Amino acid sequence: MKRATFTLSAIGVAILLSLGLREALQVAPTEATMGNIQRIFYYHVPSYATAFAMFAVNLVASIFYLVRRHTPSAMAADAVAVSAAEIGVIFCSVGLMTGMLWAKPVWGIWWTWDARLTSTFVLWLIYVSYLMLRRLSVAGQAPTLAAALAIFGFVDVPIVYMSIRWWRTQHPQPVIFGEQGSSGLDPSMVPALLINLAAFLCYGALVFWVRYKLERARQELHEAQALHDIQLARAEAR
Amino acid sequence: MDTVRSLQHLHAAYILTWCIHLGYILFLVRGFVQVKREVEELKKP
Repeated sequence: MKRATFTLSAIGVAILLSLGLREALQVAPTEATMGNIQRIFYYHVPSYATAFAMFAVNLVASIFYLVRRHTPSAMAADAVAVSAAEIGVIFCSVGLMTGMLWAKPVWGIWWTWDARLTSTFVLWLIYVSYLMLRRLSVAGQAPTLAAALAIFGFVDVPIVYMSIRWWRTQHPQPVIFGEQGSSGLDPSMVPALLINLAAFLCYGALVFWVRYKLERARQELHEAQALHDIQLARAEAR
Repeated sequence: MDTVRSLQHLHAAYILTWCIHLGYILFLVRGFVQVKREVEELKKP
């Protein structure tokens, strides 16, 4: 992506996010039962949607890496995987945090160990452990192990999504894509949700691109450092 | 249902969301600066 394209994309995303903020706080109607606190929904759901999209990218990149780990394209796949996981964790953290801030005034508690919240917390822990494995491991096998962990870790994503359909939970039943495709969301609230969904997904994609470039720069730096060390060792041996 | 506390929670959710995202952007910028510094060190004779 060229610098001008990136700048234009960043401006577009900033406009979309501003529109989303305005829709969520000013345009969308106030919910009858919960009042204004329900407006957290417009950040809570898009955050999780973006996190799930990033974890899906991480899954595809991890499979690609494992299949073609002896080819030059494997390094790019590894960079995609780690970038997507990191951004997924950021958005998942926002989802958890906004959920807790919403739960306290509505449920009277910050947290409960129901199926939805517990499976989401486990998902967050899986990807945090993935990133810790990447960061703390010194062995050359770290990307391979992390890719295997990512494949098993992604199993929790459909469990999180289906948890409110499979079990009785404190967390509300599905508001969108409910039973037989029904939606419990008032039609006047849909534009605010869709704009924020688009804004968060575009913002996530943009940050993902930046993080990917950083990872590729780090990989090139490590290769250059390794080459430099070999040249120094040879020079000293002479 | 709208109490002062619930409005505080609403504002906190929006502000904290952007604090987390801005913090992450700063973390990325710091990463680029660090890589650039290391590349320059590597180029030194």
